[in-house]
Amino acid sequence: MVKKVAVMGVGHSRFGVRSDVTIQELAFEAVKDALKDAEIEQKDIDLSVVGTAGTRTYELMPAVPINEYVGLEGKGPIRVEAACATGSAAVYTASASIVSGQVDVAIVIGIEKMCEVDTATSMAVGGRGGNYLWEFHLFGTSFPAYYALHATAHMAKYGTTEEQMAKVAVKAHKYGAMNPYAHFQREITVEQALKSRVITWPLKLYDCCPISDGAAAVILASEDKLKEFKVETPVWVDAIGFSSDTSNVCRRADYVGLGATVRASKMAYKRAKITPQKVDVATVHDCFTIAEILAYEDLGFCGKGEGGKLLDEGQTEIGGKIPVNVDGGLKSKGHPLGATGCSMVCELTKQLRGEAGKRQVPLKNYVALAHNVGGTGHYAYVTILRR
Amino acid sequence: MAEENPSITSRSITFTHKVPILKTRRFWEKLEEGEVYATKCRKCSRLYYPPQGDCAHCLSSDVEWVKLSKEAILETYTHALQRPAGFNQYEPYIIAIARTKDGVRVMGWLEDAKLEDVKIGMKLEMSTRKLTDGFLVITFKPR
Ligand SMILES: CC(C)(COP(=O)(O)OP(=O)(O)OC[C@H]1O[C@@H](n2cnc3c(N)ncnc32)[C@H](O)[C@@H]1OP(=O)(O)O)[C@@H](O)C(=O)NCCC(=O)NCCS
Ligand SMILES: [Zn+2]
Repeated sequence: MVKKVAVMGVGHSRFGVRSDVTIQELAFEAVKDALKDAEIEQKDIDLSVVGTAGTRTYELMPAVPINEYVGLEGKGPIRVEAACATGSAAVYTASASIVSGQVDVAIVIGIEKMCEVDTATSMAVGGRGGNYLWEFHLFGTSFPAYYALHATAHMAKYGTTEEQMAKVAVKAHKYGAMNPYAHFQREITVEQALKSRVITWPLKLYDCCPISDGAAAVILASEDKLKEFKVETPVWVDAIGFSSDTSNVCRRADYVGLGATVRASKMAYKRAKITPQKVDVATVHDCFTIAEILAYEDLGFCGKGEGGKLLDEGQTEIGGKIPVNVDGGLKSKGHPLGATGCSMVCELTKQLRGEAGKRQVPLKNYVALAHNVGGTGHYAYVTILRR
Repeated sequence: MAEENPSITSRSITFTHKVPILKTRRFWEKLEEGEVYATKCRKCSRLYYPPQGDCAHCLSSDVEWVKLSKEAILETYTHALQRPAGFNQYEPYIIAIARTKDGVRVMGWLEDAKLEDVKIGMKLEMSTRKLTDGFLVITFKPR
């Protein structure tokens, strides 16, 4: 018997350099917020799933310390890791536990503490996000480098420009400036982005998401529980598609898209019985500006090679054909790895409930899509939410 | 402002691993001689680069070593100015992915080329080089 799963409550900490709190203190902010939003208490929760990549903190096995600090000892925890897609993998784990009837209410705590180590160390951890022995060890790869390899190829094949990539950052910062949880809450210009320092050519500082600390929590519940708690406008987790790709980027089909995104989205669209055109609002994995352009194409929001054009036309702004990352995206909101997938669900839940304030998109089909990539297309999750 | 928050220093921990290379030893040895080797499954003929001692396709562990051609075509690249820990002792490098005549892609550092002259599709010559600290790297040069 397969059960339906809905989002009962969402919570979010402020993202950014959070040197004011430890990992468990950071989790507390998101969990408290989510419990309040769901109007339930810890005793109502059956299972806790902690999503954290956990590769940059002193607390190497943080799930239990987190669970204790937020008053959830005994409820799990299951610790989940899927690189930058950890949050979505954790949502999937909690959701699957409910779908299978094993639990009725589960909390997903997506969290990352990234700013306790220096940037070079952080880059050396990220650079191991492929296949250590054959890439990082020999050539000193990094996340900005992996995505730059894709940007160079996309520019050469489709004529995508540095200016189009800058437009992704400008859009992200525009909405980030309206998001009180965002790491960066300031607008930037195309010129500023283009003039910023080169990190891994063609990617510059403003093409990169920052290194952030942050937490986001999502409470999921079965249909029966929703009735019991009298949730009036539940947001349903309609479908979760997933896929992955080779660890060695040398073995990929090409560098102008992410195969894992294509496959995960096809699975999600099929399971939810929708087409990309039905999506009212999306959050996509813009860890680097080129990644947002690849996402438009791989998710079917436009044709292959047309991502730059979609930006030029402003189609992914509020009021456009498909508003994308109107919470500031990873670029401006920040990208605390484990928190990101949960943060996407938080934002889309608020959008579908019509609670997004100044950043509210118009709703037509009441369908939202979260796209979360781990590594450089090493993992991909596509989650469809519906009200 | 965030930097001003009080903090204490953790006990430090350093990992330096012993990476087993019994199954890929030939690759590491041949790098010293300027050559890059792949493996080929004797049962199903799959060519593997990076090399591996076990075939993921047919599950055979009967593989042979194959020397890759030095002729390669550039597929994509990036100039790594900001580098990760462990690589800041080197000058900024160009990470490239090129396809050899054998049809496999190899990652390496593109050297002896000015960034503005680098073009996807250009012909490259593959080799290897020992860095000052003893680590080996695969290199490409314009041909
Ligand atoms: C690009 C990157 C290397 C820059 O980090 P850095 O060298 O520590 O940055 P700096 O110390 O030079 O920061 C200088 C300023 O730019 C800001 N800044 C840092 N990263 C920024 C970013 N990505 N975008 C915009 N501004 C940024 C800092 O807040 C700082 O501002 P201040 O002077 O007002 O305090 C780093 O942000 C990074 O690695 N990003 C990618 C993270 C990643 O790979 N995530 C996983 C992806 S899947
Ligand atoms: Zn075989």
